[in-house]
Amino acid sequence: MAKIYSKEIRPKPKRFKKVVLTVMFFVLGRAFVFTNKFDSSVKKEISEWPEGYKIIFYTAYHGPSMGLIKRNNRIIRAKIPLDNADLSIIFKNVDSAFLMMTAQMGIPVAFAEHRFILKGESHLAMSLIRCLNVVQTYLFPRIIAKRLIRKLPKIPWYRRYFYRLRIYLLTVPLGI
Amino acid sequence: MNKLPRYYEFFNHTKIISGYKALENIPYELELLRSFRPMIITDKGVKKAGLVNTVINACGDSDLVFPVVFDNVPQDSSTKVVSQAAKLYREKRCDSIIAIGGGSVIDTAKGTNILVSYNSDDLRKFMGADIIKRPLNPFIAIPTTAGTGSEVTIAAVIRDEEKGIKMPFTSKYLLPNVAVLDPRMTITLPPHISAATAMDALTHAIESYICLQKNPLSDAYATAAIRLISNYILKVIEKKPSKEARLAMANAATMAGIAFSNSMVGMVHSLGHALGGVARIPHGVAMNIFLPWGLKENFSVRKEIIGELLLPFSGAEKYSNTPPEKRATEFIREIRKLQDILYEKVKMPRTLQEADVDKELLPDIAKNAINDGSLIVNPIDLDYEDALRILKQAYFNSVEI
Ligand SMILES: [Fe+2]
Repeated sequence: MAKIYSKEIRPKPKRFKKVVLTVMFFVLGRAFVFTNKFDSSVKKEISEWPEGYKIIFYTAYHGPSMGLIKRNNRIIRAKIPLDNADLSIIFKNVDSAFLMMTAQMGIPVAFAEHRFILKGESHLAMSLIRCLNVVQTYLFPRIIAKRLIRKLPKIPWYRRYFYRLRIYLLTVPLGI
Repeated sequence: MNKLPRYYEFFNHTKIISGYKALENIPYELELLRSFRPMIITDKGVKKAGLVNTVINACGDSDLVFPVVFDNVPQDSSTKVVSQAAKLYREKRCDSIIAIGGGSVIDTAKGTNILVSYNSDDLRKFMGADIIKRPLNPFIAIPTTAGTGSEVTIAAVIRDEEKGIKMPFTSKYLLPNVAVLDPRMTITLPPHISAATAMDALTHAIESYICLQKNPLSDAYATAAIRLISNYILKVIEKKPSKEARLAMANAATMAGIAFSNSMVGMVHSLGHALGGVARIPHGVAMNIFLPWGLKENFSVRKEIIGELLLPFSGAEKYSNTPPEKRATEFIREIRKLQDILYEKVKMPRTLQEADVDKELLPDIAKNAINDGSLIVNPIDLDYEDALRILKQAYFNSVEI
């Protein structure tokens, strides 16, 4: 009888993509928190969320994640367990999250392609998307932002340039 | 030309049984699902119209027992009603659900099925996408309105009465096992309701065809639905519509339901949901008012795709006689023509003014519209100013092209 040597095969972890994702979540989180401080449209959106509202961006399975919570009328970054969030944005896998977090895919397309699912109280999802549109407009040059966002928020170019520089030089590295 | 999307998903597992004596096959279908004690969920109107009896009588001479008829479903399904239904289901030891009614009846049945299958009392735990991870109890849907398509959608919307918000549920397990389309079930629809539900179904098909999540399979269902609706809508609003016309509309609504369950709807629904929530305008009427505006607003990025719809809507001759660059405008014009006829025949409002909407409410409606999830897959995005501008235009005028 032929012998079958079998060994369980475990697909390799995608380490590089996970590292990039961790960095990008960090960048997005800090940029979001900072944008909330100076941009009036984001301030207005956040002011309508209930105090203590918890959002998590999570990568299945056990991948990088980012938590946001509203405290004292401001968004701050926080560690939030998946089950504890009011709204969870769950990427189905590392590659889906990678595509979106590296600005290769905008939110509407990612949604249409089922790259993530929403769990929980999604009635603030559209407000969150509007905030992310603004954050992304500050973060990325117009040529990239235009591919990600259907309708760019009206922000004058000098404001975009100034805050982009400010975000990459101070907010991301120092959190201020 | 139609390109394949880079990536898409499509799912529908509901068995559809349609036509002459379809109801009579319910005992057989339930037996295949090993169920013999179905709970009937319906509303007072449907019951009063005698439709529940029609279903029960059709099931005569079988092993089925109907332990209870729950006819308490209100206009908008809510957590309270779902809990009541679930409690009765358990008390009466039911083993399956038959929903007879429109969208809110079928959504209530979906919610009830979650609770009884998971033996839970808290619907909130299941809110969102894909939280339900295993098959639910056997579930048959019998639509009585030919519009919402809920009998073939993976979604349910149920109002949380404590928090005052609408809870969305999506899961492939919410799909009924069987949808029964029988012309006897739409026999009592008055013409103006038939017209409104038909416009809802037409909007499902059109929006699923032009929105970002479109795919070849949803397109196939959408265009088939549009063809049927365009052929039968005027026949179904006659005083005594034929069986053929009613069955055709029921089929069209189901096809449009399969299409939009898989490719979503867009801004017409965002505006319509908001108008319904704020000004209590019936969903189908809202669809009729906003459909041309949705087409016009998306024109800039979807002209070619909108133009393609002239073929299923107006037929091959009209399509080939219209130059490609004119097809989109011609399609909108054809929709407008249909709306004028519907206005003349059943007084279906074409503007917010004709629907008696209070002008003061427009800012509120705009605010709700941009927070509606349907906007996410609409080809163009709307901000508050856009929504308000469209509402103001839609107040007095229908689209000019
Ligand atoms: Fe609809």
